[in-house]
Amino acid sequence: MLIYALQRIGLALLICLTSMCLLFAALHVIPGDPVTLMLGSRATPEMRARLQHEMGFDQPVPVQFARFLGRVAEGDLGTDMWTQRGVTTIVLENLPNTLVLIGAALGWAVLVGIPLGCYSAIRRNSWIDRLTAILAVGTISIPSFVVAIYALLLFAVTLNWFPVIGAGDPGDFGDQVWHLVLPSFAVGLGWVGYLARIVRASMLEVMGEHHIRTARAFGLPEAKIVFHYALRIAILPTVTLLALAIGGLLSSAVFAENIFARPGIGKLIVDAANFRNFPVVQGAVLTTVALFALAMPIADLLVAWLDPRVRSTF
Amino acid sequence: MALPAEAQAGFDPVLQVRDLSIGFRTPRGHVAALRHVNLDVPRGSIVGVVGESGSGKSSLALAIMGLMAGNAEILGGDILFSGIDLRRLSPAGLRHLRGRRMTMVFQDPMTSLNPVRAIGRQMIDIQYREQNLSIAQKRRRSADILRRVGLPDPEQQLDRYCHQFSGGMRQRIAIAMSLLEEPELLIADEPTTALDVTLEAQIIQLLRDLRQEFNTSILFISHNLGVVAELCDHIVVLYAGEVVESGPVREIFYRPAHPYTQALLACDPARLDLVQRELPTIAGDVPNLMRVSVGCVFRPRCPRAFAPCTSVPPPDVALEVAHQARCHLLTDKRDG
Amino acid sequence: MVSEIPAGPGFLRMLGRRLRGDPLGLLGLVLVLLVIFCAVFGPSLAPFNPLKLAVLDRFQSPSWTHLFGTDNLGRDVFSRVLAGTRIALGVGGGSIAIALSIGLLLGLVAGYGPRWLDNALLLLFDSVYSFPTVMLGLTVMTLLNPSIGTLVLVIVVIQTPAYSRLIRTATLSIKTSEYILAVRSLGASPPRVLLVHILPNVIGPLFIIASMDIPSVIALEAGLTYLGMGIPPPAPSWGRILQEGFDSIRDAPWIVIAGGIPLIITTLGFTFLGEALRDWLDPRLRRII
Repeated sequence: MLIYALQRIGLALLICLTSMCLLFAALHVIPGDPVTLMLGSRATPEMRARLQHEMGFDQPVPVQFARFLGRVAEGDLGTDMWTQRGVTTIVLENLPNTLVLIGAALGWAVLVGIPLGCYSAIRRNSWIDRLTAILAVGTISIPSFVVAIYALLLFAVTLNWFPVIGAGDPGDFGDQVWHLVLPSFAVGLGWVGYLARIVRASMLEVMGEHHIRTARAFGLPEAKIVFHYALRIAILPTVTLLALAIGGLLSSAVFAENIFARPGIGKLIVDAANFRNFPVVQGAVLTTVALFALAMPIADLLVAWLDPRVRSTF
Repeated sequence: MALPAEAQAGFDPVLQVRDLSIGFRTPRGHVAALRHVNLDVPRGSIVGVVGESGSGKSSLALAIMGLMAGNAEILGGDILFSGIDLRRLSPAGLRHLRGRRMTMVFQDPMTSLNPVRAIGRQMIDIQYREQNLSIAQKRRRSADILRRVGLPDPEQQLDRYCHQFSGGMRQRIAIAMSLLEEPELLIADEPTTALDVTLEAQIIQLLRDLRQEFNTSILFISHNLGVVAELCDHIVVLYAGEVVESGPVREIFYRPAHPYTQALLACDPARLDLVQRELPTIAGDVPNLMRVSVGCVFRPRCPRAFAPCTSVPPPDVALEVAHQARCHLLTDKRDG
Repeated sequence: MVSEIPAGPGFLRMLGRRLRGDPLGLLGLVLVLLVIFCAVFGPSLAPFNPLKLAVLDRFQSPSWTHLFGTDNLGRDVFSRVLAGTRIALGVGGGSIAIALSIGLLLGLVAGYGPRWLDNALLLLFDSVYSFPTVMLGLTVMTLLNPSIGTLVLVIVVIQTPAYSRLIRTATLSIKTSEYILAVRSLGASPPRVLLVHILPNVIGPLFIIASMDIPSVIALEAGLTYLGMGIPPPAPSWGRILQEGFDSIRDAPWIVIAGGIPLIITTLGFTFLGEALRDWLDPRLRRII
């Protein structure tokens, strides 16, 4: 099991490495002076000089890359020339907010999507099943930022049930939760439908298997059969799916943070992008890439651990 | 099996199936899977149901247990379990009986046990009705029955998963689960079909021993005559959804009355007295159960069919004690 | 499969029969046709010039003259929405077409070529894939000046890996089949094998998968424009309408509503139609969610 884990994580690290390579290559392939590309035209000569010094653009490209890799390995994602603060610090300040938002969105998906999927499987072709199917397809395809804007308009501006902007008072947990409801709903809505569909299909398949019939033959209560016997198996594929969802969730978070004016990685990247502040954009994006790339092997390992059939082969 | 009146005093069957008919609604039409089936399982005996694929034997087992698929319906007849009318019972009542007073062992050991739940937990789940027992006591009971079916080191095995066992072991575990609550009736649906001959012999021996010990009645379903001969006291021969013959095992094997039974026995490779070049077979195919003909269901394949067989359904003719067959050819025997 | 579809009038009859049994698919078809109609004829049918400023008429609520009202610069929102249809379909459809072509090529090469090339390309695809889409878009747009061209480039970069992988897998499985070996033994050169024999057999599912990406690509374009990093103003992309309307969401909510409606109609329409087509042409694809 250990070797398998190391292999998967190693592959994820290789992917992160290649991503950094790509970004680095883009800097040099795109026509123009790298310093101007990274800082835009508003940079002062002092900033340019400092960036030049940090990145070592006068040196051969492989050396530059090696230096860059070395710094990243140490946890240094560069310096934000406008505030003179380390990019790593800025990213770490904003990352937890985004993680909370994504976690809450996943919470919606799991707490609403899984029961809906279960119910749809048990009561096939009931009106809830049909309605869920249509709504699922609908919510998956509608862009999340449209959902966010409409949710803001309806629930915050018009009905005034929820606050419009911000993440809430830092000291007040309840206030923060209140501020979290709409944004996490907007981000998670599509995934509720998606998860419901997957769980439904998975449950239908498992409920048709022979061992479920055996459980019924022993007179076990239907509730126990559905939750402890069937769902326990049907839910394994969703773990992997949720890891894959993290990419989409991060993208949706960018919009949600912008629309609801919440602090976070998304807002950071958009503001920096609009300001042509590439070091910050690069640092933040690489962080999300690492998150996403590592989420998948971790999910695979989690599934391997949860499924006794896989676990015992190690 | 309709018993003569004298034998009915003290008659306490654990299972009585009377005139049972079952059909399936399919997109292509209605399938008459079982027609007017009569079957008795006397308490403490082993009754074998023999038939080829499509004869309806699995449908019979599932109907008794109340586990039929959604498109199946009981068209008529009664199922009485220890005097309880199963058809009148609510689903909750039926569920209460299952796993406790009547249990079932299925054909394929590779797929009929839960793959992600430890054996011990499944066995503890089965005992959920025992409110007075602690988990530890339920574990002990489970280990005891596992030991009884021949699993070494049962305490350790309780925490293992079924994919860690071979097919033969899994079937033993399935039998152990079925006997855990000491049921009155155990239905075994082709339990040895998926196993090789050596394992089969072991399982048969196990069932024999357990019947002695627990006094459980067994309804043993199979297509294998040899196994049925070894294990069962009474035999019911099923063809295309009808009981064509039933009786004590010696009667069926030494004095088979129905042409189908005779043909089956003739086809059994184990009973060949002569060395022949070809294995005998029964010509023709099982009939289409969506269009059941009026006369005898075996007529198209019967070497001795004559005039009434086409148009008149054959009667159940009582022969020796507890032996009867459904055939026109036997009517003069009865009269004579 | 695809070969069982009759040609000519038979096709339309079969399509009609199919869609009658699938109301969502029918709805999807209607919506898609509506969108295509607006893209083609919209600008000619628009009552006002979408770019014309009329500051005196700003923030008018919806009326019979201005169906969706006017925005902060007095422009007729309805006309802007119609004009935006052309942008959405043009950019979306065009980018996917380019991504398809490149993805097809790369996929064939990865599947048919040497092992090291396959591994290298796979690593490249996985790396691009591990960027959350919007973030990748923002990164590229930071380095390049936002314009239609760079937006198309971004979408192509994002979509190509998935298509390449699909073609690669299909190519790999066909590569070892007997008739390919037969053709090779007759002396066919690798390009010929690829183009004449492998390509026609792998391309089928690609069209269906690509058509299901139209909604997400349109959404991506609108989203990036909304964030200010997509199509530059004054082009009336739906994302632009949403962005400009958002600032006045309290006082003039109709702008934002109007900006969202075409996006909803387009994404729902293409998705419903895509699902219906997928079920029809190859139910096996249901496995590839």
